[in-house]
Amino acid sequence: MKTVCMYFQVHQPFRIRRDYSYFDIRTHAPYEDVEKNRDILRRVAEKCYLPTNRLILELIEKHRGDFRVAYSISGVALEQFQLWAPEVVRSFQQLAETGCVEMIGETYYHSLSSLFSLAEFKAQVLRHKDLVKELFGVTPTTFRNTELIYFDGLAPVIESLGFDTVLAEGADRILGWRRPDHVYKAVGAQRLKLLLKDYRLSDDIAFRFSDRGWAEWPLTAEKYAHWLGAIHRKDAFVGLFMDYETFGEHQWAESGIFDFLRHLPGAVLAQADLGFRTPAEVSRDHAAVADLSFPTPVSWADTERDVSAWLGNSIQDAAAAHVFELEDRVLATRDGRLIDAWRKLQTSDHYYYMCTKWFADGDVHKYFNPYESPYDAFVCHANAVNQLRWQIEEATRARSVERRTLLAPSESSDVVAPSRSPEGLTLTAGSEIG
Amino acid sequence: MSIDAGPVLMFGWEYPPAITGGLGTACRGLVTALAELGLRIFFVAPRLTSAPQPCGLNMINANDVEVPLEALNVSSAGQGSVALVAVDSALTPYANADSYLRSAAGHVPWSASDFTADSVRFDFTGGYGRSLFEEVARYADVASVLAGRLDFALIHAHDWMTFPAAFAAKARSGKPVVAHFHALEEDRCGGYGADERVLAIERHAVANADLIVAVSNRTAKMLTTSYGAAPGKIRVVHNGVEQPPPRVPARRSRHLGKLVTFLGRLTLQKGPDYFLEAAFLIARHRPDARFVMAGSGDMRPQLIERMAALGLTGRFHFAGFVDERRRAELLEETDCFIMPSVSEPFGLTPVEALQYGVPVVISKQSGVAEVLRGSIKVDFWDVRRLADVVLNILAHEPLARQLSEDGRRDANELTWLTAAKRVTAAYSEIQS
Repeated sequence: MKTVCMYFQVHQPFRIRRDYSYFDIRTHAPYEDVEKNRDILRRVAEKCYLPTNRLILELIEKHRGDFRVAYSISGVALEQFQLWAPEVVRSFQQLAETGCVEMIGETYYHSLSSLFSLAEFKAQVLRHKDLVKELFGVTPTTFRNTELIYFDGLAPVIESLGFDTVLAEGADRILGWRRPDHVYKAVGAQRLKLLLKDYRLSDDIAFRFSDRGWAEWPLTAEKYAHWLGAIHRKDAFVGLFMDYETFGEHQWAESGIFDFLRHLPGAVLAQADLGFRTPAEVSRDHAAVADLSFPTPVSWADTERDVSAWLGNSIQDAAAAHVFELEDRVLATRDGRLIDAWRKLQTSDHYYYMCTKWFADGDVHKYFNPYESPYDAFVCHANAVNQLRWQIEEATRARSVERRTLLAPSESSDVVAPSRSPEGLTLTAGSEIG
Repeated sequence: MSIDAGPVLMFGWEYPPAITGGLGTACRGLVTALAELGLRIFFVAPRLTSAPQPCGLNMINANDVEVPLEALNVSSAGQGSVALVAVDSALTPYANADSYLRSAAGHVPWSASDFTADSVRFDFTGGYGRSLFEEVARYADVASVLAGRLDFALIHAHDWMTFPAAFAAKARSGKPVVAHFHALEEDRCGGYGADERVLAIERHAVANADLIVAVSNRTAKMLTTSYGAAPGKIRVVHNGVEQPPPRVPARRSRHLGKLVTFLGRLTLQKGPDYFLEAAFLIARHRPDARFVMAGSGDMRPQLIERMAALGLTGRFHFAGFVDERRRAELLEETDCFIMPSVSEPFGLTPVEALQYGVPVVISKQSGVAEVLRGSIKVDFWDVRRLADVVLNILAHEPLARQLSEDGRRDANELTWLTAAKRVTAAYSEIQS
């Protein structure tokens, strides 16, 4: 049987206030844009998550187990659902209970940690695993990294974290003459299987669906199912991986995207020898045909399919370095709140907003960018990181003061460097005179 | 002090709190001091937000002035350089502001707010946006109307935006014009790509003003060499500072390192790139040094990229445009202030910094260097020397204290009252 494998990505970042300035650092003004995060979350819940979940549930019930899908929901999205739209969590739980839905693992913070610190990456994957287990009662066995970023070096790490399947982009430069519809084995791991995204068929829905300039517009479920049915190889699997926000947010309801989704399972199942499977089921049913190597990081973003949407220009690289240079210091505080705040600053969206690739992909970037320019995004993020750095310094100082009071007074003087004295007596010339 | 002069019809452009640079602050300082000297002044600005004013000072918001439609051409007389584009024809055929806006939308995002059959009230932004030349021309229309209604003895105008207004008022009233140069197009463009239209207005003013006021010897020299001004027609009046400066209580905890500050528009003229390169050198020797670049401007993106590439992200802050309160807050926590301007007619910010006791380093290419005798001056391009000086100030407390004390003494002498007395002396000259 030919298999259609649909996986949807659900993610919302904790955004930083657009007006968070230098003058807010070292005050108690929060840099998180609570209002905007709440408003966006509720809006997208109304337009996408709730109606689409309702529809998917309806379709699963209608097709009695023959329609099957998978979700990866970032930890920061789940956290925000719990805060501002708990009904969305409940509707995902309902879906998980059908037995036709697979929950996929990722980094809790939808972060770029895999590119900077494997220790950090592991910690965030395990934290996400715990949350999925807690909310949905299942332990994920399929993994997908932030924005489908994948490279050979990750394979053994992912395998060691208990996953047997990983999703990746079916990028041309990786596949060459090979096809994306085979299951491959990850290079560097024992058994980890690679399932690839068919970007042409995925993007027909995710990006081109409402494009009136596209030769295939309007796209109907029947036409699309016919394309799937026309795939020649008998045990082919087609990875349709996309943002869940495609339904109702990126493609508005008026575009007919919900009608398309409503009719898709029936149209697919009407084709001979075509069915739906989740990634774990595909992995179970298919042996890997060959090793496939990803020597450098590949993602599902932009035409480059690399990590240049988040890193590569000087401000993105500087922002990431700025965050990750705090790793040891923030972990040493053992302060859960600070560590959590630090990890939220690793979320990929912050770096996406700093992208300066204006042409070709620039339009997509602008659409998702709440800032006036990449430079504004950088400055706000840098201010937030500086605020966190100050908080870490405060916490570190408080801890050493605590430690000092435990020590004999004579030993305490070298514990705290004079310039770091909390009394702040080492003021500078200017301020003494002023 | 003889106060026979005046009343004065004075044209400004920006005015606090709505300011983007030093011009508005300077105008407020000067008119307030002139009013204290007993002078009667009608101060006109395109857009004023009301605030209590000293007696003797009449503030006129150009947006409130009704301009008869037949007065709309006056400003172009003798001002061939002002682009009047198709506005006159756009105005007359339409009966309301909306359709005017629509017809004008192609080239000016700017409007008249109130139309009647035979008069119009403009909606000046008083900014420096795309409608600038348009507003400058319309401001002159308003000036002409005001000149016909008010009783005054002379006209005083601040920078090129207001010169067409001054000469429109002169054409109506026959009164003498004092052209006050706070900045020249040559300063603003940093030597590259001067706007010919602005240059033409400035040249016209230099040739036709009855007296010229320059904010520094530097500016006076540029006026004679580049604009052909007759040296005998120029009076140098250095700016003052408003005293005493506003104090702000520490609102947040101090960071522990040293803070080096830049405050100004992020444009070629102000030399922010030299500050950044110096910061890089300073940072290598002082791990505790931090830098704030306050201001906005067209160089911001390239400065941010360069800063990131230099690896200064955690310690170099882009604070954006700061209002007066934030400015005070920033100066309160600053350890060393740098003004590396490439070409600065005067330069008020280091004087403000000195009022807060902050040692300053200023470029030799600034007018304020003429009056800050106790501060260190370097060539704007000499980044290594600049870094060296700052490192010394940060490292040597006695040096910092000496610079702070001497500098504050210089700053205290720069009062607007002194400047106002020189200006009234100039008034007496052309009235006699």
